[in-house]
Amino acid sequence: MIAATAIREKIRKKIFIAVMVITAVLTLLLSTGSTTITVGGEPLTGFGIMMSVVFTVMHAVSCVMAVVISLGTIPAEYERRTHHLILTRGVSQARYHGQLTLANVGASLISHAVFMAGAAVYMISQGHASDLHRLLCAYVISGISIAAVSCLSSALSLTMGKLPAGLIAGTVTLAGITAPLLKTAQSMAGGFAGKLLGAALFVLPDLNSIQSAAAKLITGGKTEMHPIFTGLFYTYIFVMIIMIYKRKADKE
Amino acid sequence: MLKINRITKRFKEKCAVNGLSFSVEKGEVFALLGSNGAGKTTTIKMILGLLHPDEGTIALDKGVTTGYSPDTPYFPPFLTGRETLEYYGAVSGMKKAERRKQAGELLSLVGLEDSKTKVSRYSKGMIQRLAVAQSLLGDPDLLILDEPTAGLDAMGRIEMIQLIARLKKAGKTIVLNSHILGDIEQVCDRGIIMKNGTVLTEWDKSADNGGRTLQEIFIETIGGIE
Repeated sequence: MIAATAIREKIRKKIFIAVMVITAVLTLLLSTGSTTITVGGEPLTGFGIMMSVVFTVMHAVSCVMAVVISLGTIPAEYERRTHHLILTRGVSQARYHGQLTLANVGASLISHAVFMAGAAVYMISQGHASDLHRLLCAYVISGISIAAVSCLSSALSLTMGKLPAGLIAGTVTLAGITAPLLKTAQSMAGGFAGKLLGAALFVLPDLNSIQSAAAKLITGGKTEMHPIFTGLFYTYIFVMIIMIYKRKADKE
Repeated sequence: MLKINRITKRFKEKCAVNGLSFSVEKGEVFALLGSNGAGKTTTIKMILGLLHPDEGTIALDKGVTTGYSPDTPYFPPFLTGRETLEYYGAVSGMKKAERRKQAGELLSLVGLEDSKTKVSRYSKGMIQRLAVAQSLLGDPDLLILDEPTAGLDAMGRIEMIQLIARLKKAGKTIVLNSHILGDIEQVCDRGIIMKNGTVLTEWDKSADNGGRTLQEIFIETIGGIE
Protein backbone atom coordinates (compact mmCIF):
# COMPACT_ATOMS: atom_id res chain seq x y z
CA MET A 1 0.00 0.00 0.00
CA ILE A 2 2.82 2.41 0.89
CA ALA A 3 4.63 1.52 -2.34
CA ALA A 4 1.48 1.84 -4.49
CA THR A 5 0.68 5.29 -3.09
CA ALA A 6 4.30 6.43 -3.47
CA ILE A 7 4.29 5.30 -7.13
CA ARG A 8 1.07 7.22 -7.73
CA GLU A 9 2.73 10.30 -6.26
CA LYS A 10 5.90 9.79 -8.33
CA ILE A 11 4.19 9.49 -11.69
CA ARG A 12 2.43 12.80 -11.09
CA LYS A 13 5.75 14.61 -10.90
CA LYS A 14 7.05 16.82 -13.70
CA ILE A 15 9.86 14.35 -14.30
CA PHE A 16 7.36 12.01 -15.91
CA ILE A 17 6.22 14.71 -18.29
CA ALA A 18 9.92 15.09 -19.23
CA VAL A 19 10.11 11.32 -19.84
CA MET A 20 7.06 11.51 -22.12
CA VAL A 21 8.46 14.46 -24.05
CA ILE A 22 11.93 12.89 -24.52
CA THR A 23 10.32 9.65 -25.69
CA ALA A 24 8.01 11.44 -28.09
CA VAL A 25 10.90 13.44 -29.59
CA LEU A 26 13.20 10.40 -29.92
CA THR A 27 10.43 8.29 -31.40
CA LEU A 28 9.45 10.98 -33.86
CA LEU A 29 13.04 11.49 -34.96
CA LEU A 30 13.64 7.79 -35.44
CA SER A 31 10.32 6.93 -37.03
CA THR A 32 10.42 9.60 -39.71
CA GLY A 33 13.42 7.86 -41.29
CA SER A 34 15.14 11.18 -41.86
CA THR A 35 17.53 10.64 -38.94
CA THR A 36 20.93 9.09 -39.58
CA ILE A 37 23.44 8.16 -36.92
CA THR A 38 27.06 8.32 -38.00
CA VAL A 39 30.12 6.74 -36.39
CA GLY A 40 33.47 8.07 -37.65
CA GLY A 41 31.65 9.81 -40.48
CA GLU A 42 30.11 6.55 -41.71
CA PRO A 43 26.32 6.39 -41.48
CA LEU A 44 24.87 3.46 -39.60
CA THR A 45 22.39 1.52 -41.63
CA GLY A 46 20.37 -1.60 -41.05
CA PHE A 47 17.71 -2.30 -38.49
CA GLY A 48 19.92 -4.37 -36.16
CA ILE A 49 22.62 -1.72 -35.80
CA MET A 50 20.13 1.13 -35.50
CA MET A 51 18.11 -0.79 -32.91
CA SER A 52 21.25 -1.46 -30.84
CA VAL A 53 22.05 2.25 -30.85
CA VAL A 54 18.46 3.19 -30.00
CA PHE A 55 18.40 0.65 -27.19
CA THR A 56 21.75 1.85 -25.79
CA VAL A 57 20.58 5.47 -25.77
CA MET A 58 17.21 4.64 -24.19
CA HIS A 59 18.84 2.43 -21.55
CA ALA A 60 21.30 5.22 -20.66
CA VAL A 61 18.50 7.79 -20.39
CA SER A 62 16.44 5.35 -18.30
CA CYS A 63 19.38 4.86 -15.90
CA VAL A 64 19.76 8.61 -15.43
CA MET A 65 15.99 8.91 -14.94
CA ALA A 66 16.14 6.13 -12.31
CA VAL A 67 18.66 8.22 -10.35
CA VAL A 68 16.51 11.36 -10.61
CA ILE A 69 13.31 9.51 -9.70
CA SER A 70 14.78 7.55 -6.78
CA LEU A 71 16.93 10.16 -5.11
CA GLY A 72 14.26 12.28 -3.44
CA THR A 73 11.64 9.80 -2.25
CA ILE A 74 13.02 8.78 1.15
CA PRO A 75 14.42 12.24 2.12
CA ALA A 76 11.06 13.82 1.17
CA GLU A 77 9.22 11.45 3.52
CA TYR A 78 11.44 12.58 6.41
CA GLU A 79 11.33 16.27 5.47
CA ARG A 80 7.51 16.26 5.31
CA ARG A 81 7.44 14.12 8.47
CA THR A 82 5.20 11.62 6.74
CA HIS A 83 7.25 8.95 8.50
CA HIS A 84 5.66 9.90 11.84
CA LEU A 85 2.27 8.61 10.71
CA ILE A 86 3.80 5.40 9.36
CA LEU A 87 6.32 4.50 12.06
CA THR A 88 3.83 5.21 14.88
CA ARG A 89 1.57 2.55 13.32
CA GLY A 90 4.00 -0.21 14.12
CA VAL A 91 5.59 -0.33 10.68
CA SER A 92 9.32 -1.09 10.95
CA GLN A 93 11.89 1.13 9.27
CA ALA A 94 13.04 -1.85 7.18
CA ARG A 95 9.52 -2.38 5.81
CA TYR A 96 8.94 1.33 5.31
CA HIS A 97 12.21 1.94 3.47
CA GLY A 98 11.72 -1.29 1.54
CA GLN A 99 8.28 -0.14 0.35
CA LEU A 100 9.61 3.28 -0.67
CA THR A 101 12.45 1.61 -2.58
CA LEU A 102 9.92 -0.65 -4.26
CA ALA A 103 8.06 2.51 -5.32
CA ASN A 104 11.29 3.97 -6.71
CA VAL A 105 12.03 0.80 -8.68
CA GLY A 106 8.43 0.66 -9.92
CA ALA A 107 8.40 4.29 -11.04
CA SER A 108 11.82 3.88 -12.69
CA LEU A 109 10.61 0.79 -14.56
CA ILE A 110 7.49 2.66 -15.68
CA SER A 111 9.74 5.43 -17.00
CA HIS A 112 11.87 2.78 -18.77
CA ALA A 113 8.71 1.21 -20.19
CA VAL A 114 7.72 4.58 -21.69
CA PHE A 115 11.10 4.74 -23.44
CA MET A 116 10.69 1.16 -24.60
CA ALA A 117 7.28 2.07 -25.99
CA GLY A 118 9.15 4.58 -28.17
CA ALA A 119 11.50 1.80 -29.29
CA ALA A 120 8.46 -0.37 -30.03
CA VAL A 121 7.00 2.35 -32.26
CA TYR A 122 10.33 2.49 -34.09
CA MET A 123 10.32 -1.31 -34.55
CA ILE A 124 6.79 -1.26 -35.93
CA SER A 125 7.62 1.64 -38.26
CA GLN A 126 10.55 -0.42 -39.60
CA GLY A 127 8.31 -3.43 -40.26
CA HIS A 128 9.55 -5.52 -37.32
CA ALA A 129 6.30 -5.79 -35.39
CA SER A 130 6.75 -9.57 -35.21
CA ASP A 131 9.88 -9.04 -33.06
CA LEU A 132 8.10 -7.05 -30.35
CA HIS A 133 8.23 -10.02 -27.96
CA ARG A 134 12.05 -9.76 -28.16
CA LEU A 135 11.81 -6.13 -27.09
CA LEU A 136 9.67 -7.20 -24.14
CA CYS A 137 12.33 -9.70 -23.05
CA ALA A 138 15.02 -7.05 -23.52
CA TYR A 139 12.96 -4.72 -21.33
CA VAL A 140 12.90 -7.29 -18.55
CA ILE A 141 16.68 -7.86 -18.74
CA SER A 142 17.56 -4.16 -18.97
CA GLY A 143 15.10 -3.58 -16.11
CA ILE A 144 17.64 -5.32 -13.85
CA SER A 145 20.12 -2.54 -14.47
CA ILE A 146 17.41 0.12 -13.93
CA ALA A 147 16.42 -1.59 -10.67
CA ALA A 148 20.07 -1.71 -9.54
CA VAL A 149 20.50 2.02 -10.21
CA SER A 150 17.22 2.82 -8.45
CA CYS A 151 18.13 0.72 -5.39
CA LEU A 152 21.61 2.27 -5.27
CA SER A 153 20.11 5.80 -5.36
CA SER A 154 17.56 4.84 -2.68
CA ALA A 155 20.26 3.37 -0.43
CA LEU A 156 22.49 6.42 -0.80
CA SER A 157 19.62 8.85 -0.18
CA LEU A 158 18.81 6.94 3.00
CA THR A 159 22.32 7.05 4.38
CA MET A 160 23.55 10.53 3.42
CA GLY A 161 22.49 13.97 2.19
CA LYS A 162 20.73 14.38 -1.14
CA LEU A 163 23.65 16.19 -2.83
CA PRO A 164 26.41 13.69 -2.02
CA ALA A 165 23.98 10.84 -2.71
CA GLY A 166 23.17 12.34 -6.12
CA LEU A 167 26.82 12.88 -6.98
CA ILE A 168 27.81 9.33 -6.03
CA ALA A 169 24.78 7.72 -7.69
CA GLY A 170 25.31 9.81 -10.83
CA THR A 171 29.02 8.95 -11.01
CA VAL A 172 28.44 5.22 -10.46
CA THR A 173 25.68 5.20 -13.08
CA LEU A 174 27.79 7.08 -15.61
CA ALA A 175 30.73 4.75 -14.96
CA GLY A 176 28.43 1.74 -15.34
CA ILE A 177 27.00 2.97 -18.64
CA THR A 178 30.42 3.84 -20.05
CA ALA A 179 32.24 0.76 -18.72
CA PRO A 180 33.74 -0.16 -22.15
CA LEU A 181 35.28 3.32 -22.42
CA LEU A 182 36.73 2.96 -18.93
CA LYS A 183 38.16 -0.45 -19.87
CA THR A 184 39.85 1.13 -22.90
CA ALA A 185 41.15 3.97 -20.72
CA GLN A 186 42.43 1.44 -18.18
CA SER A 187 44.43 -0.49 -20.79
CA MET A 188 45.81 2.77 -22.21
CA ALA A 189 46.65 4.34 -18.85
CA GLY A 190 48.61 1.57 -17.12
CA GLY A 191 50.43 2.23 -13.84
CA PHE A 192 48.59 3.55 -10.81
CA ALA A 193 45.82 5.20 -12.85
CA GLY A 194 45.24 1.93 -14.67
CA LYS A 195 45.09 0.02 -11.40
CA LEU A 196 42.68 2.59 -9.98
CA LEU A 197 40.39 2.28 -13.00
CA GLY A 198 40.68 -1.50 -12.79
CA ALA A 199 39.61 -1.43 -9.14
CA ALA A 200 36.70 0.89 -9.96
CA LEU A 201 35.57 -1.38 -12.79
CA PHE A 202 35.78 -4.38 -10.47
CA VAL A 203 33.62 -2.75 -7.78
CA LEU A 204 31.10 -0.76 -9.85
CA PRO A 205 28.12 -2.44 -11.54
CA ASP A 206 28.72 -2.95 -15.27
CA LEU A 207 25.42 -1.54 -16.54
CA ASN A 208 26.65 -1.56 -20.12
CA SER A 209 27.07 -5.34 -20.12
CA ILE A 210 23.49 -5.81 -18.89
CA GLN A 211 22.27 -3.47 -21.62
CA SER A 212 24.34 -5.37 -24.22
CA ALA A 213 22.89 -8.69 -23.06
CA ALA A 214 19.40 -7.22 -23.41
CA ALA A 215 20.11 -5.66 -26.81
CA LYS A 216 21.33 -9.00 -28.15
CA LEU A 217 17.90 -10.44 -27.44
CA ILE A 218 16.45 -7.97 -29.94
CA THR A 219 19.07 -8.37 -32.63
CA GLY A 220 19.26 -12.16 -32.28
CA GLY A 221 22.78 -12.41 -30.83
CA LYS A 222 23.88 -14.74 -28.04
CA THR A 223 22.95 -13.31 -24.63
CA GLU A 224 25.50 -13.63 -21.85
CA MET A 225 24.07 -14.56 -18.46
CA HIS A 226 26.95 -13.37 -16.28
CA PRO A 227 26.13 -9.61 -16.42
CA ILE A 228 22.49 -10.38 -15.63
CA PHE A 229 23.39 -12.31 -12.46
CA THR A 230 25.92 -9.65 -11.51
CA GLY A 231 23.20 -7.00 -11.85
CA LEU A 232 20.87 -9.05 -9.68
CA PHE A 233 23.64 -9.47 -7.10
CA TYR A 234 24.23 -5.70 -6.93
CA THR A 235 20.49 -5.09 -6.58
CA TYR A 236 20.40 -7.60 -3.72
CA ILE A 237 23.33 -5.87 -1.97
CA PHE A 238 21.68 -2.42 -2.27
CA VAL A 239 18.35 -3.78 -1.00
CA MET A 240 20.13 -5.37 1.97
CA ILE A 241 21.71 -2.01 2.86
CA ILE A 242 18.26 -0.39 2.72
CA MET A 243 16.72 -3.07 4.93
CA ILE A 244 19.51 -3.12 7.51
CA TYR A 245 20.30 0.59 7.79
CA LYS A 246 18.57 2.32 10.72
CA ARG A 247 17.92 5.97 10.13
CA LYS A 248 17.38 8.24 13.12
CA ALA A 249 13.64 8.87 12.89
CA ASP A 250 14.01 12.33 14.42
CA LYS A 251 16.91 14.50 15.37
CA GLU A 252 15.13 16.97 17.61
CA MET B 1 -3.02 5.52 31.61
CA LEU B 2 0.31 7.26 30.86
CA LYS B 3 3.11 7.73 33.39
CA ILE B 4 6.21 9.72 32.54
CA ASN B 5 8.93 9.32 35.13
CA ARG B 6 11.98 11.63 35.14
CA ILE B 7 12.71 11.44 31.43
CA THR B 8 15.71 13.24 29.98
CA LYS B 9 16.64 13.71 26.33
CA ARG B 10 19.83 15.36 25.12
CA PHE B 11 20.81 16.37 21.60
CA LYS B 12 24.59 16.75 21.66
CA GLU B 13 25.16 19.61 24.12
CA LYS B 14 21.52 20.69 24.37
CA CYS B 15 19.22 19.15 26.96
CA ALA B 16 15.76 19.24 25.34
CA VAL B 17 13.93 17.47 28.17
CA ASN B 18 15.35 17.37 31.68
CA GLY B 19 13.94 15.04 34.32
CA LEU B 20 10.32 15.52 33.23
CA SER B 21 7.57 13.71 35.12
CA PHE B 22 3.78 13.76 34.77
CA SER B 23 0.90 11.37 34.40
CA VAL B 24 -2.31 11.33 32.39
CA GLU B 25 -5.42 9.61 33.69
CA LYS B 26 -8.04 7.83 31.62
CA GLY B 27 -10.68 10.11 30.12
CA GLU B 28 -8.93 13.41 30.74
CA VAL B 29 -7.59 16.00 28.33
CA PHE B 30 -4.06 16.91 29.35
CA ALA B 31 -2.21 19.98 28.08
CA LEU B 32 1.47 20.44 27.35
CA LEU B 33 2.15 24.17 27.55
CA GLY B 34 5.28 26.20 27.01
CA SER B 35 7.10 28.52 24.69
CA ASN B 36 8.96 27.30 21.58
CA GLY B 37 11.88 25.10 22.59
CA ALA B 38 10.29 24.13 25.91
CA GLY B 39 10.56 20.44 25.00
CA LYS B 40 6.88 19.71 24.28
CA THR B 41 7.35 18.15 20.84
CA THR B 42 10.37 16.13 22.01
CA THR B 43 8.21 14.80 24.85
CA ILE B 44 5.47 13.84 22.38
CA LYS B 45 7.97 12.08 20.13
CA MET B 46 9.23 10.09 23.09
CA ILE B 47 5.68 9.06 24.06
CA LEU B 48 5.16 7.92 20.45
CA GLY B 49 8.43 5.98 20.41
CA LEU B 50 9.96 8.11 17.65
CA LEU B 51 12.68 9.12 20.11
CA HIS B 52 14.01 7.24 23.08
CA PRO B 53 14.73 8.96 26.40
CA ASP B 54 18.35 8.94 27.57
CA GLU B 55 17.11 8.53 31.12
CA GLY B 56 13.78 7.82 32.81
CA THR B 57 10.79 5.76 31.75
CA ILE B 58 7.56 6.17 29.83
CA ALA B 59 4.89 3.69 30.84
CA LEU B 60 1.57 3.14 29.13
CA ASP B 61 -1.01 0.91 30.79
CA LYS B 62 -1.08 -2.57 29.32
CA GLY B 63 -2.85 -2.76 25.96
CA VAL B 64 -3.17 1.01 25.55
CA THR B 65 -3.04 2.06 21.90
CA THR B 66 -2.12 5.53 20.68
CA GLY B 67 -3.24 7.77 17.84
CA TYR B 68 -1.24 10.77 16.68
CA SER B 69 -2.13 13.95 14.83
CA PRO B 70 1.01 15.89 13.78
CA ASP B 71 1.41 19.67 13.90
CA THR B 72 2.06 20.05 10.17
CA PRO B 73 0.25 17.13 8.57
CA TYR B 74 1.03 16.16 4.99
CA PHE B 75 -1.21 13.85 3.03
CA PRO B 76 -0.83 12.75 -0.61
CA PRO B 77 -2.65 15.56 -2.44
CA PHE B 78 -4.14 13.30 -5.12
CA LEU B 79 -6.09 11.25 -2.58
CA THR B 80 -9.52 12.13 -1.28
CA GLY B 81 -10.16 12.31 2.46
CA ARG B 82 -11.73 8.84 2.37
CA GLU B 83 -8.81 7.38 0.39
CA THR B 84 -6.37 8.95 2.86
CA LEU B 85 -8.08 7.30 5.82
CA GLU B 86 -8.30 3.99 3.97
CA TYR B 87 -4.59 4.26 3.15
CA TYR B 88 -3.60 4.78 6.80
CA GLY B 89 -6.05 2.08 7.81
CA ALA B 90 -4.28 -0.31 5.45
CA VAL B 91 -0.88 0.76 6.84
CA SER B 92 -2.23 -0.06 10.31
CA GLY B 93 -3.14 -3.53 9.07
CA MET B 94 -6.91 -3.07 9.17
CA LYS B 95 -9.10 -5.27 6.99
CA LYS B 96 -10.64 -3.63 3.90
CA ALA B 97 -14.25 -3.73 5.12
CA GLU B 98 -13.28 -2.38 8.54
CA ARG B 99 -11.22 0.51 7.18
CA ARG B 100 -14.00 1.48 4.79
CA LYS B 101 -16.51 1.50 7.61
CA GLN B 102 -14.23 3.50 9.92
CA ALA B 103 -13.25 5.96 7.18
CA GLY B 104 -16.92 6.83 6.61
CA GLU B 105 -17.65 7.20 10.32
CA LEU B 106 -14.57 9.30 11.04
CA LEU B 107 -15.11 11.61 8.06
CA SER B 108 -18.61 12.19 9.34
CA LEU B 109 -17.27 12.85 12.86
CA VAL B 110 -14.81 15.50 11.67
CA GLY B 111 -17.26 17.03 9.19
CA LEU B 112 -15.57 15.96 5.97
CA GLU B 113 -18.32 13.85 4.47
CA ASP B 114 -17.67 15.06 0.91
CA SER B 115 -15.83 12.02 -0.36
CA LYS B 116 -14.98 13.34 -3.83
CA THR B 117 -12.80 16.33 -2.93
CA LYS B 118 -9.05 15.73 -3.22
CA VAL B 119 -6.77 16.70 -0.33
CA SER B 120 -5.08 19.20 -2.67
CA ARG B 121 -8.29 21.24 -2.51
CA TYR B 122 -8.59 21.07 1.27
CA SER B 123 -8.16 24.17 3.44
CA LYS B 124 -5.70 24.09 6.37
CA GLY B 125 -8.58 23.51 8.75
CA MET B 126 -9.86 20.56 6.71
CA ILE B 127 -6.36 19.03 6.63
CA GLN B 128 -6.06 19.39 10.41
CA ARG B 129 -9.46 17.73 10.86
CA LEU B 130 -8.40 14.94 8.50
CA ALA B 131 -5.22 14.55 10.60
CA VAL B 132 -7.35 14.12 13.72
CA ALA B 133 -9.58 11.64 11.85
CA GLN B 134 -6.58 9.49 10.87
CA SER B 135 -5.39 9.54 14.48
CA LEU B 136 -8.74 8.02 15.46
CA LEU B 137 -8.39 5.03 13.10
CA GLY B 138 -8.53 1.80 15.06
CA ASP B 139 -10.21 3.59 17.98
CA PRO B 140 -7.01 4.24 20.01
CA ASP B 141 -7.19 4.69 23.79
CA LEU B 142 -4.83 7.66 23.91
CA LEU B 143 -4.86 10.52 21.40
CA ILE B 144 -1.86 12.80 21.01
CA LEU B 145 -2.72 16.02 19.22
CA ASP B 146 0.25 18.24 18.37
CA GLU B 147 -0.80 21.83 17.67
CA PRO B 148 -4.15 20.91 16.11
CA THR B 149 -5.16 24.58 15.80
CA ALA B 150 -1.84 25.82 14.38
CA GLY B 151 -2.29 28.03 11.32
CA LEU B 152 -6.07 27.90 11.42
CA ASP B 153 -8.33 30.90 11.02
CA ALA B 154 -10.95 31.75 13.66
CA MET B 155 -13.59 29.45 12.18
CA GLY B 156 -11.13 26.61 11.74
CA ARG B 157 -10.06 26.95 15.37
CA ILE B 158 -13.64 26.93 16.61
CA GLU B 159 -14.39 23.79 14.58
CA MET B 160 -11.27 22.06 15.92
CA ILE B 161 -12.03 22.94 19.53
CA GLN B 162 -15.60 21.69 19.08
CA LEU B 163 -14.19 18.46 17.64
CA ILE B 164 -11.83 17.97 20.59
CA ALA B 165 -14.72 18.68 22.96
CA ARG B 166 -16.79 16.00 21.17
CA LEU B 167 -13.92 13.51 21.52
CA LYS B 168 -13.62 14.36 25.21
CA LYS B 169 -17.33 13.81 25.65
CA ALA B 170 -16.95 10.44 23.92
CA GLY B 171 -14.48 9.48 26.67
CA LYS B 172 -11.21 9.81 24.80
CA THR B 173 -7.98 10.44 26.70
CA ILE B 174 -6.08 13.23 24.97
CA VAL B 175 -2.66 14.81 25.30
CA LEU B 176 -2.84 18.21 23.66
CA ASN B 177 0.07 20.40 22.68
CA SER B 178 -0.99 23.93 21.83
CA HIS B 179 0.25 27.49 22.04
CA ILE B 180 -3.23 28.91 22.19
CA LEU B 181 -4.06 29.21 25.87
CA GLY B 182 -7.70 30.06 25.28
CA ASP B 183 -8.16 26.77 23.41
CA ILE B 184 -6.44 24.84 26.18
CA GLU B 185 -8.58 26.44 28.84
CA GLN B 186 -11.75 25.51 26.96
CA VAL B 187 -11.10 21.81 26.51
CA CYS B 188 -8.34 20.66 28.88
CA ASP B 189 -8.73 19.37 32.42
CA ARG B 190 -5.12 19.55 33.54
CA GLY B 191 -1.71 20.35 32.17
CA ILE B 192 1.87 21.31 32.78
CA ILE B 193 3.73 24.49 31.88
CA MET B 194 7.20 23.66 30.65
CA LYS B 195 10.38 25.65 30.14
CA ASN B 196 13.79 24.33 29.10
CA GLY B 197 12.57 20.76 29.28
CA THR B 198 11.33 20.87 32.87
CA VAL B 199 7.95 21.37 34.52
CA LEU B 200 7.60 24.86 35.97
CA THR B 201 4.11 24.37 37.31
CA GLU B 202 1.07 22.15 37.03
CA TRP B 203 -2.32 23.51 36.10
CA ASP B 204 -5.67 22.03 37.07
CA LYS B 205 -8.87 23.63 35.81
CA SER B 206 -10.90 22.27 38.72
CA ALA B 207 -8.42 23.51 41.35
CA ASP B 208 -8.50 26.90 43.06
CA ASN B 209 -6.38 29.06 40.78
CA GLY B 210 -7.02 32.21 42.79
CA GLY B 211 -9.34 33.57 40.13
CA ARG B 212 -6.50 33.72 37.62
CA THR B 213 -6.98 32.69 34.01
CA LEU B 214 -4.60 30.20 32.41
CA GLN B 215 -3.03 33.05 30.48
CA GLU B 216 -2.25 34.89 33.73
CA ILE B 217 -0.82 31.74 35.30
CA PHE B 218 1.26 31.12 32.18
CA ILE B 219 2.75 34.64 32.13
CA GLU B 220 3.50 34.53 35.85
CA THR B 221 5.14 31.13 35.53
CA ILE B 222 7.20 31.77 32.41
CA GLY B 223 8.33 35.11 33.85
CA GLY B 224 6.73 37.82 31.75
CA ILE B 225 6.12 38.11 28.05
CA GLU B 226 9.20 36.79 26.25
